[in-house]
Amino acid sequence: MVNLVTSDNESFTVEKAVASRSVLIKNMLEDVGESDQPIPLPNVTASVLKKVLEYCDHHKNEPMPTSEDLAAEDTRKRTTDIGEWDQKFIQVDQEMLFEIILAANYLDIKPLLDVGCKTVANMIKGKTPEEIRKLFNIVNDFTPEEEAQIKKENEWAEDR
Amino acid sequence: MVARSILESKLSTKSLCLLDELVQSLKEQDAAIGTDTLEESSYAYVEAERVRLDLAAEVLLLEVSRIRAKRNSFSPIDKLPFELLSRIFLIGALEDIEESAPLPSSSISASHVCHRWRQISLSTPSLWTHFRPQIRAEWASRAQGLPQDFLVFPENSKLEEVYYDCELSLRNMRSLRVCLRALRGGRMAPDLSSCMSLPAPKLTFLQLTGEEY
Repeated sequence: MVNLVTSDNESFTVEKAVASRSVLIKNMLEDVGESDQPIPLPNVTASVLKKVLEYCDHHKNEPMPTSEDLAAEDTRKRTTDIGEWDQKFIQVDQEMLFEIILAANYLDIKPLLDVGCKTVANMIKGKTPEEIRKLFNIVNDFTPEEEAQIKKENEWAEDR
Repeated sequence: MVARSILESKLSTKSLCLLDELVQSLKEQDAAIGTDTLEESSYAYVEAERVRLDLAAEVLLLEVSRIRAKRNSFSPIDKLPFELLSRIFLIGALEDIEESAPLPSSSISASHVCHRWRQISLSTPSLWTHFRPQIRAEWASRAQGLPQDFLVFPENSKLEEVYYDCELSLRNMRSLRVCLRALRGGRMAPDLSSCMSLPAPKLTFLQLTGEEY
């Protein structure tokens, strides 16, 4: 069993197979060898880690992505397909979604990072800039100069 | 227009005072630039005032952009760092390529959302590898020489041009998609075999699609 401690000082005891979905933790465990020392995760809060561990637990028996898998990732693969369980898992509010992405990036859990990024990409897909702004609560903060350039680009797109 | 009472309840007294003062001073004649010595009806006076007020408006607009950028930093998505946002944008860009979209629409949209997204999009060359002979050079050049994902809709362009562009681009082509899906009125599908005899050292994907019209 592995003991993980979050930034808000909550501790989680999980199976090694679950914790090792995180390449960061896996490497730490390999470096320190057998030890009861808790592993501090100063960049992850308890609520986010709970969610991340849920993902790791569900996928604990799957083979880890090899470096070949990572290299093969290019235009050939359909980029935005997400498995059914993962889709349900990632149905969270925006704040949690971005926290999960950040945690997956920090903990180095590539498949989870992919699920998160694809989800955001799917949210953006086919939307106009104005719709994207509304979706993510962003306002148009372009300078007049940028605005003029964008207007020009929109004209290019029209007369393609 | 925001009601004054709302402004007073949300801004500090200091901000409010300074804001009023600034707006007032910009509207008033400024002795320092010397227009007070000019006759109000004179051409020089009118011109100087126009220039001064244009400038004042420009400065204010620029500040408005900065305030709005600051405001955007409080949106949840702003937590994602540069590399993660560009990774997300890349998913959309690759989809446009896979789907043979006529333009790198996802990348264009991302670059039109806000200042930060634009900066990220413009400095991520891999978002702009989508290439068609008709595409604006300004967009294509954002790929900064990365291998191109070349798309040909022969019906939209003169075939000689396609050959020419194809030959020219073969050396730096990552993928080539030729779509004949809207070939009209018995036009012959283009014979690209002449280009195919040239070396394409970076080409990893070739797709020829056709549909009966």
